Formats: sequence, structure tokens, C-alpha cells
Amino acid sequence: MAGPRSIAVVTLGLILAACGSNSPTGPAAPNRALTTVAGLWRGVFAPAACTGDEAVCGNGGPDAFALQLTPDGAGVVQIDISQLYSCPSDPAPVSADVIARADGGTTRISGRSPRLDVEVDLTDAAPLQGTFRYTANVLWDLTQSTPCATVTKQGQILSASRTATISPGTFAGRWRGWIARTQCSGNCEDSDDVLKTGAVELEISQAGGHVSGSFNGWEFAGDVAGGKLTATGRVRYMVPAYPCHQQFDSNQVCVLDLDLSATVDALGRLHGTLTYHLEGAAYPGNRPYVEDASADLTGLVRWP
Amino acid sequence: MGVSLCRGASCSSPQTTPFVLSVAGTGGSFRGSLEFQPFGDDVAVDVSGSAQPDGAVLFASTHHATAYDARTVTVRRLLVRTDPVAGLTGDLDMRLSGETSDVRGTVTSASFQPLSAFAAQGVSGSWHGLAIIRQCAGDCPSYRDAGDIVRIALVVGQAGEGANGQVQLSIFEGEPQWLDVHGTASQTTFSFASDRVALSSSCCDRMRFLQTFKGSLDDLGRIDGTFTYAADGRIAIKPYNISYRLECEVLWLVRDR
Repeated sequence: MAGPRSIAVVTLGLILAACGSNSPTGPAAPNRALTTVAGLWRGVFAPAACTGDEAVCGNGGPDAFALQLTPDGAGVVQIDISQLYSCPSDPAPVSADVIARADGGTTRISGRSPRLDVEVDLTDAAPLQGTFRYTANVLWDLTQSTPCATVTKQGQILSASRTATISPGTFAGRWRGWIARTQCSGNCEDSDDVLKTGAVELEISQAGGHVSGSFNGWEFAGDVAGGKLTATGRVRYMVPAYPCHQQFDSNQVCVLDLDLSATVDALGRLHGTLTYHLEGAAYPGNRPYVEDASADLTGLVRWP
Repeated sequence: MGVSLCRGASCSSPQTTPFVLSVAGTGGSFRGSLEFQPFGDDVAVDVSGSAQPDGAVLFASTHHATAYDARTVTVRRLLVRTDPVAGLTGDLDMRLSGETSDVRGTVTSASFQPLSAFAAQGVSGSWHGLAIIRQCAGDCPSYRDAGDIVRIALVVGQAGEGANGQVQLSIFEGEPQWLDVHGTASQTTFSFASDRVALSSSCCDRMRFLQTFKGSLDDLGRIDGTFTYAADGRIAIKPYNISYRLECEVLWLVRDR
């Protein structure tokens, strides 16, 4: 690092991603307008109007967004809804796959997913300017069948900049999203110490073919080969009378074996599966439990 | 980075934790800012460093950094070197105050962005950081003392010499709200103010506004500056006519990344 220069180093790759989206119809043909706006943008929406959940709208704050577009118009929009306290556990931005179409001096970007119905009309790409409108469903947790809040906002892009991050690997970064259990045997409850509310906080450090990180606080390490991440985590708490002691270690995880496999798609979303074996003492009652489960990670996104 | 060793009351299980290291320098001398979450909350630590014979750079705190809860962080050693595979590798040795803990970590990998990419944006973007109350004038609440820490969230859009945006300060009463701000900005300096806003959710601050917020961008892309937050009673009858001004100085204000 010797020599005169000025650098910034960040740990978080900012390749954009989306979560649980329905793909809209096929991309438009490449044209100059779409080529100009292609890339990864991060910025802020300034809502001028908000309807729906009063607590969310009452905040009145800006919403951070990320927009990734390819030159042929395919892309994804992510928005971090300002929430106040009404839905505190929602960890991930809402997102939708989008299509951009140039029409005269305006480029319309639109798409819809179960959590987001969004339209952005760009009037300029240097800097990025335009208006937006979206309806978002904010989740409480995966056990709720209805959204915690639904809001519709519209306004203007306050600021945005194109991002150019050089990342040490496809998987490096801080990922957010949801995990859904697909199979469970043993003493299964709606939630456990791996799933928690269903919200995922996944930190991955990557150096070449080696990865390490944490999944909801549980450490793991592994490898990347052929575009696929394979990692394991092993936890053994050294409590007396291993395995779990019934006298004092209630609500204690004693053993956790987790296996994580994941890939990243063309728009930077992480998909994968997690299988885990969990032993512990439940609260209340100090009841020992054993659980074997599998779960899907469906479209985690890098955020922030 | 990963925590490899922790001694003290603040230690939890080893964890992988993200960080941002911004570096500027000439010759063998470097200045930087290390942003991370040693207490689970953001802290930005000023560091200075020098090139080592093997090409690494050895940094240490120029002074301890303060978190929102007033705990402090001192980086005793941050040794980093560029790596063609991992981007950046190295190690960290720091002391956390409060329930004093000594922490060692390993830099396992890092992505890279040139600072020049941010310089072109001027003050536009999203910012977060901390300020300190230097002085209070008027009917100062007992819970707003000099030395108290203020959390700042700021978003700005700049168009020519005009700029507007929103700011949120932790010294607002009640639930967090955003104040619209407007003013002027050049490539490296800005000056904002807000309108007077009445907030019905407040028990004590009937009208509030940002009287001034003057700042500048440094070569690490951070905002330095001062601001004055004011609260006035709307009813000119005691005891409802409280009025005070808080003079605050930015401790660190960095771009969301």
C-alpha cells in the first residue's frame, strides 16, 4: 500500500439483489436510454405522499433504495421502508424484479412481487432523476399470514449514485432476507434458535475459494467451488453433564451442526438451503429437545 | 473481520463483523477512518498509519472514539495489506471501555471502492453519525447537557448550488421524526436550515427546528460541521414558553455504504 494514493476499502459488496420476486415479461431490446441507465444505483426516495399504515407513514422519512439494470432492461428494485416501530423485525428491503422501457425522454421501470408493486419514471441518468410510486407489504415475521403493514408512497428521487465495488468474491457481503423451514423432525416448534423469526442476517467473508461468516449469529466456514458455496458450522457448548443439563441450562443450545449451501443468481440474489441438527434445553421446563430440519433461503439480498 | 480473541466483560461469542476502512495518504503516511460495530452500534475511529517495509500499513487511533452510549474504542493496532485474492488482510487489536474488554480480530477479506467515486457526489447521499452537545442556552432541559451524544441521520439531494433533504436527531422528543432541510451546497461545503415544525407527539418541544447546519467534506469523504437545534414553546404562558438552543459539533458523520 505504499505510494501516494487515496483509497477506500469496504467490506460489503454492493451487487444488487431481490427477494421472492415474480419475473415480469421479457426485457425490452437494448437502446441508448437503457444503456445509459444500466448499472447498479443506490439512492434515496423522498416520499411526498404516503397512504396506508399510519405508523409507517407518520415517520415521514426517506426510503433508501437500490436499482440494478442490465442494458437490455431487466433488473431489480429494492427499497428499505422507513418503519418507525410498527414492524421492527422486518430485516430486509422489499424488492421486485423489474423491466425498464424507454419511451421518448422517459424511462419507465416497473415490476411487481408479493411484497412490492413499483414504478419509477426516470427523466435523467446524470444524475439519476425521476419520480416513483410503490406499494409495499412490510412483514412482521414469517408466521404471520398477513403483512404487518401495507403502505403506498410516491415522490421523487432525492439522490442516487452509481456504485462500482470491486469485491473479493461472489458471496462476500452482508445478506438480508428470509428463511423458510421445509422439513423438520424431532421436537419441532414454530421457531427455534436458528430460524428465529424467519429473518436472516448472513455475514460472509470470502477470500478466493474460502468463506467464513455467521448465520443469525452462528459461525460457519467453508469453500466456494464451481459458483457454489458449501459451508458448515459446529457448536458444542461445554456445559457440565453434556449434553444439556436439566438443572440450570434452560433455553440453552448445547449442540448445533449446520450445513449451508448457496448460489448467487445473475442479479446478485443468494439462494440456498440450510440443514441443521439442534440439541438444547427448552424454556420453560428445562425439557431437552432434539431437532433435525431443513430450510430454504429464497433470494437473500446484499443490504446495505 | 472475525474476532479471534476477546478478554473482558463485554465479550460475546466470536463473530464475523463487517467494517469500512477509508484511507487517504501520500508517501508512506496515511490517515483513515475505521467504521464498525464493536458494541453492536456504529462507531467511526480516526486512525493514522505508516507504511511498513513489507508493504503493509500499520494504523492506530489518533484518539479514542465515542459510541452513542458514551463507551469508547481505542484501536491499538490495525495492520492491513492488500491481497490479490482477499482484497485486504490483516489484524486488529483494540480496547473497548465501559466494561473494559480487549479484542483481537483478523481481517479476512474486503471489497474496494475508490474514494473518488464518492467525491463526485458532493454532499448528496445518505449519512449517519454522532455529534456532541457543546452548549445549551435558554430554558435547557435537565436531560440535555453539554457532553451528551446526539445521533444523526441525514439525507441530501444536491442540484447545482441548491440542496434539500431531511434530518433526524436523537434529541427530538418522542418518536423519531424527520425534519425537512434546505439550503446551499458546493462540492465540499453546505449550509442547511429547516422550517419551524410543530410536533403533536412531543410533550415538551412544541416547535422545533434546525437553526443552522454548516458542514464540509474532508478528504476521507466525511462531514465535519456544527449545527444548532432549537425548540420553542408555542404558548407564551409559563411554564409552556420554554425555549432553548443546543449548539452541537459533529463527532463523525459518514456516508451509508
